[in-house]
Amino acid sequence: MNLRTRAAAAAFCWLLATGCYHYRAGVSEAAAPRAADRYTGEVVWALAWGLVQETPIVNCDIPLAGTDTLKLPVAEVRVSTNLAFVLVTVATLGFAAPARVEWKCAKAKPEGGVIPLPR
Amino acid sequence: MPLLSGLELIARPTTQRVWQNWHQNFTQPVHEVLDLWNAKPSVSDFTVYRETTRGLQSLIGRAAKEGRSLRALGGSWSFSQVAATDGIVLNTRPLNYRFQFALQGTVDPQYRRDASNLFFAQCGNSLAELNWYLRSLKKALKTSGASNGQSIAGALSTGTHGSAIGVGGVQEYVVGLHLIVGPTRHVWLERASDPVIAPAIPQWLGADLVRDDVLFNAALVSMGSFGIIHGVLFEAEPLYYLQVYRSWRPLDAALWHAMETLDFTGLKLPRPATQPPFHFEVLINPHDMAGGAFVKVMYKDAQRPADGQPLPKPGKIAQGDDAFEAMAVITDLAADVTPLVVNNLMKRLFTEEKGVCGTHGEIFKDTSTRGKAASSAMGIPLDKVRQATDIGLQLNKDPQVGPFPGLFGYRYVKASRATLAFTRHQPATCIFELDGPFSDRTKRFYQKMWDAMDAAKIPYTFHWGKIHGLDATRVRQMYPDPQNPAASAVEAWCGARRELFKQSPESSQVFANQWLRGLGMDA
Repeated sequence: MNLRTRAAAAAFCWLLATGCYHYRAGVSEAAAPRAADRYTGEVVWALAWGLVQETPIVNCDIPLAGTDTLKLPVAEVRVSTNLAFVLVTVATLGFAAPARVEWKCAKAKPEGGVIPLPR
Repeated sequence: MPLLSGLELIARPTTQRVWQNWHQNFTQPVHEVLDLWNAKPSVSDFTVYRETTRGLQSLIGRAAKEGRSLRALGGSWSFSQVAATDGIVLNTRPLNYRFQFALQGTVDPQYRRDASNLFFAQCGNSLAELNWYLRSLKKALKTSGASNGQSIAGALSTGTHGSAIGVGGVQEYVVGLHLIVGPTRHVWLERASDPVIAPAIPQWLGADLVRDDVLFNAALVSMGSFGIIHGVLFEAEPLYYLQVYRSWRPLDAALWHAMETLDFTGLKLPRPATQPPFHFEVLINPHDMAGGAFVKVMYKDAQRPADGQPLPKPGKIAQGDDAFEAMAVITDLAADVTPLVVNNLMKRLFTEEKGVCGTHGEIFKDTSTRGKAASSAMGIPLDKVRQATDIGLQLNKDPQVGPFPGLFGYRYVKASRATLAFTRHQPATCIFELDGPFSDRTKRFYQKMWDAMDAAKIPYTFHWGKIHGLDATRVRQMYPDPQNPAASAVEAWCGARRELFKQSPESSQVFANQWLRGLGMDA
């Protein structure tokens, strides 16, 4: 086997073992929200060729003192699929199409403060 | 029942029981991960900061009572297990207050530098966030790592460096630390030789003001084991611009000379020799030495230079999350394809740039590197650069070890004052980096490289946050005490740690993780 064939064979082995496809949406600007935590997410299904779809409910609320809540944006969204999900989609002729949707909540962007002069 | 002020630290339990670092080269089972938030996350409020301090003290008390180790997590950037614990992990990323010193009387009268460059950042601020904040005030960080995703506390604790030759690592611009060392004690630590804060400020916080050069230099690079670094007092500088030149050059005598001496006079650089570069970095592909080296230089200007080119727009095509893993599998299974893979990547990833210009925060962004990567970095004296490279090239050709599925990188910073900074070699340290996918072949190459460096008696040090081969003996050999060559600076560092915890000895073990114990640095 030549080098390219061997590389392709090794890549195929890897694909069968671990391959995942990720699509990510984020903001590349310097002032973009930064992630506060880890990926949270769930597997969602689109059924009947997309006529019915699951919508994950993203909760990035931080409960503060009393009844206050800080509502923060999402910093990043990642959609993933894999060989098994693709096979399900193909086997059902597209009737059922699963995907994994994950997100990271953003940090707050606090206004800068001034070190006070203690009294 | 204690009265609640409504300003208490918010500690949110999570269901996470396994923690993985950013570069995914290890996972760690944990007892608990807590997400920490200031009570008022939207406005930097020093009163809330004080309450958060109390909350952190209470968490330390709980960990001590339960006999657990506790670790404040920064950006999860480290490749080594320096930040790992099987105990309680504190996600401090949301703790991102930042403060200026705009009022008279908040700085010690002995402080003679420009107080408008002084800032106090809570531990969870990432370097990228700080650069963004500073830019709004027409200021900038003096340096950072190649990427900016690390937290300020994590970056300085592991000696994160860029390649700003005249600046050094992140710890070089830190002038004060607010350390929470136990349930009943927290400390504002500065150098006695460089007092900065007005004593009334730590007093108001309830912190002991400790001014001690030895303790401060030890605490700067302390790998999370000197307590929780809650706040970092640092010096920024007026906003500046970096003009970047990236080019392929022959790896000739002039380039080697520059790499071994930082004398750039023989190297035809874009600006005259009278203006040395702010940043100098070299990449070598060990599989194609004839192809030359990829050299990056940056010049620093107070104003945007007239010939400064705009920053390129980020491309839509990026390396996939699993690309490193695929490369690891391929090069492990079929070693002889390694040069083909690396050569192709070099050509695609490293493109020339002439005069692109931006602020520090625009040039050094959050990393886009994802996936299972490996990196080992060694601090070496300048005159050993060629010898270390030759060792790497020889191993790369050895079929029992190579080929190495990665690249050799060289970055440079001035020697640090921190006791255990791995950038300790005078007058400047070359950081010799071996980056690649996290694979068996990579790990084997690292081990052989370290052994060969030992055999060649090259005095090298390991980057604390990268993959290393440290053990209790090796770490002591790597850091001879400059005052007493028969002793190790590691013992001086341990002594400083004991001194810090002498009033709360139970907390000493709270901040000793398995990694620290393995190095015999927890006593």
